[in-house]
Amino acid sequence: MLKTLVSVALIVLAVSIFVSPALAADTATVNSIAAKVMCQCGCGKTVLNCDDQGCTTREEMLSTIRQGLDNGRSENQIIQTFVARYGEKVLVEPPKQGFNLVVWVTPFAALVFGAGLVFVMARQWVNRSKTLPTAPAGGSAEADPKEDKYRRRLEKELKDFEEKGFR
Amino acid sequence: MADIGYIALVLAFIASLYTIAAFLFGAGRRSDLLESARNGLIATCALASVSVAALLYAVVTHDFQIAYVASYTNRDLSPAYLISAFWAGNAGSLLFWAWMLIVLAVVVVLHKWNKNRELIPYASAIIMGVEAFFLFLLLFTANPFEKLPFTPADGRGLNPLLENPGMLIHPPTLLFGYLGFTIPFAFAIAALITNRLGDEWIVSVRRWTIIAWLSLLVGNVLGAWWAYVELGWGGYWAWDPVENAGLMPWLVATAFLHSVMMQRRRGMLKIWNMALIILAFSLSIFGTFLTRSGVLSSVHTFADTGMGPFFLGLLAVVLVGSFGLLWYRREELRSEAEMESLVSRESTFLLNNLLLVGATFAIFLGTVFPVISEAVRGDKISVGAPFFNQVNGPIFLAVIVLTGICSLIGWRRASKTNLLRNFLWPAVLSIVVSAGLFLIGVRQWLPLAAVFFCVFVVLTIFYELARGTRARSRMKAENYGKAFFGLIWANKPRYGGYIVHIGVVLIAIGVIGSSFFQVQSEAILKPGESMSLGKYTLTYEGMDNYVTESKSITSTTLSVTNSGEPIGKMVPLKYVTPTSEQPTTEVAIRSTPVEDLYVILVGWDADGSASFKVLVNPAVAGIWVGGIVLFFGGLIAFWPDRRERLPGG
Repeated sequence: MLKTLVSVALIVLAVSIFVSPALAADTATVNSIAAKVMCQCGCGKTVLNCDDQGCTTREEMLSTIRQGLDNGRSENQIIQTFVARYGEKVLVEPPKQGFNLVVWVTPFAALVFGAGLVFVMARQWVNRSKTLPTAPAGGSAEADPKEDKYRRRLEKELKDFEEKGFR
Repeated sequence: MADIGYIALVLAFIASLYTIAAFLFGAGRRSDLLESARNGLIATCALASVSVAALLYAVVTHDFQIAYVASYTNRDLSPAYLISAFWAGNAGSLLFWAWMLIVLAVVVVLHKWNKNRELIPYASAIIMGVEAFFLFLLLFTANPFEKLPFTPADGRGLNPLLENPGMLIHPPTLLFGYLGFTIPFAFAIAALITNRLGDEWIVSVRRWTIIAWLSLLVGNVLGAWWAYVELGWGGYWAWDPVENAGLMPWLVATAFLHSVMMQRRRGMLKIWNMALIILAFSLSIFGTFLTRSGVLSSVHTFADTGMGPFFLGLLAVVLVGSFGLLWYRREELRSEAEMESLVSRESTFLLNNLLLVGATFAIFLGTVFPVISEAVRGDKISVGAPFFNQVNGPIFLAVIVLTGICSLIGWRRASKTNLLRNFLWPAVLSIVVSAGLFLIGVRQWLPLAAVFFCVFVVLTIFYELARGTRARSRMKAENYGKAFFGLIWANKPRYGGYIVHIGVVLIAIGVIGSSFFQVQSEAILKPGESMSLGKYTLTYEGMDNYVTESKSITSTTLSVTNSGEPIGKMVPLKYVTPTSEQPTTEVAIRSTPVEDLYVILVGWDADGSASFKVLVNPAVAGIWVGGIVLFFGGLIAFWPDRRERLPGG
């Protein structure tokens, strides 16, 4: 059951990362485009959010957007105008292509790899608890591994209780 | 005064070097050398304190010949902000770090002097090593006592944006949170060196990790709040490199606080826990490197003073040394770990760690990727908020789901009947709430799913609390109120943890509301004209220009109605001070538990018309309330039992 849960979760994760921009594709407005390009005044924020008092580029870029929309250009075309003028750094997030795919894919790949590792180790731990040899103990002929496992557990819990009390 | 401060720093540096040597040579052997080392520790603290006192004295007496005082204060500054100038600049905040670290070291080392005799010499040596590093930086790259060749009549003053109560708490708590990780790190390395790898170092370390974790939490939430009320963009977290630097160690520490429970209960994950502590400390060093090296630009960074390479050097030494030592000791740490079932609380903790460390990795990669990309392709790129939101959103949602599941699954194994019984009612009620949201018009699946899980988590926690209270009240014949508080107090780590989870969910609800459902609008209005956003209508009444003793203010008044009902006036304004070149914005915010109405005065014209930006941010209050709940939960989880004061800890 855990396996299915984890697999479902990871699939949902993957889908949502790559699908969410597509979900947001409704009509282009000045604000929606302004949220996708970085203000070039050095504030580190998008044109939509720039609040730098000394900023002169925000108005410039906003009027480029308005002009573009008035001339019937698409969101993508307007954004490409900015890229041509300022370079890729004007985009608020790296385009999902070429070397930039590294930053998009690696976190997800790392999570999948990590999940696999966790699963393998957890299974090992579960198997270990089922196949541990009987403890030689003080002479008594406990051939039953289950009984022995409970005795080990009891000893450990008694020790824990002495040290830590109720938990 | 400047000379006293500087000489005290030099002496402190020398004392710290002696202390390191004395601890290392005295370890395991000569107790008189150890006594001397302890005195060296106290002497370093005293000397650092003298230096701090000298700087504060210079600030308070307006000694503008000292460059630092002239850069960050002026005669007009009120006493509280004068003190805050201590950490306003690079050199001052470094001095604050060095001073707080040595004070913390004295408290910890004296407290544990007799309890952890084998670990203390090595742990102290490591803490002093870090201390010596910061004193070195102060003496050779960023001297707070540097003098100007002349004495200016007045200083430049504090950046007006910083004149906010947040300035009194946000930087110190963040700095304290960062440096706080030095303590658990030092004890972890000491445990590796001395091969005392049982529970001893974990017990010593958990409480100090919570202190650092709490401090970082307060610093981060307060920073978000400050940005929200002070800056004019209506947001609270921009995934700015320095913001990320404050979040990463906190996420790793959260993972550690969970996996440490696994080690204490089941003897598992010892190597992993060591690695987490090393990582948390390394990230805090990396964070301060980002802030002070100019490698990435951010509204938070200080100008580059050339100390970047030194931080990288420290980072290299820490990483290579710690992981090398960990590798060397790996056999002693290998555990007899066993798990009874894949479906158990242990598994949820493993997944929790995976997700939190995964999120940290994603944030780290996104933060440094512009540098990597430029090095590899020569092209500058930006990695802005949408990247972090898209990658971290699902991860944090998964963490919340896990939070709901874990409290219902017992340790060792979950029985199917138990699971179903525990899940059923919370799940049903959560579906009802989500259906309710759908009915009032929320159609995007991601926020609906997220709200479902948030409600689910809160309900499972309430269920746990109710069950425990009822059991206790029956057992001890107490009324429900007494049983409830008694329950929490009898098992502070566990129930404190549950309260922390409630806080996290509240923050999540705040983030979901304000991220998915924020609406905004801009308009230019002449007096008498109105604009609308959602149910609100704002009518511009007029503009006022007036002067106070330190500011020249332009304020605008708007009267607001909600669905036709008048709800009051809002006064966004801008002001100019004699020392600032640009006007500073003060936004007008009207907060209710449901949503915030946020109004910014963008600009105005000579003809009396003014341009406004209005936002409606749903559920933002959840973030601040959640932060407070989180803090108190953490405080409860940290609070020592009277019984525990006797043995270790």
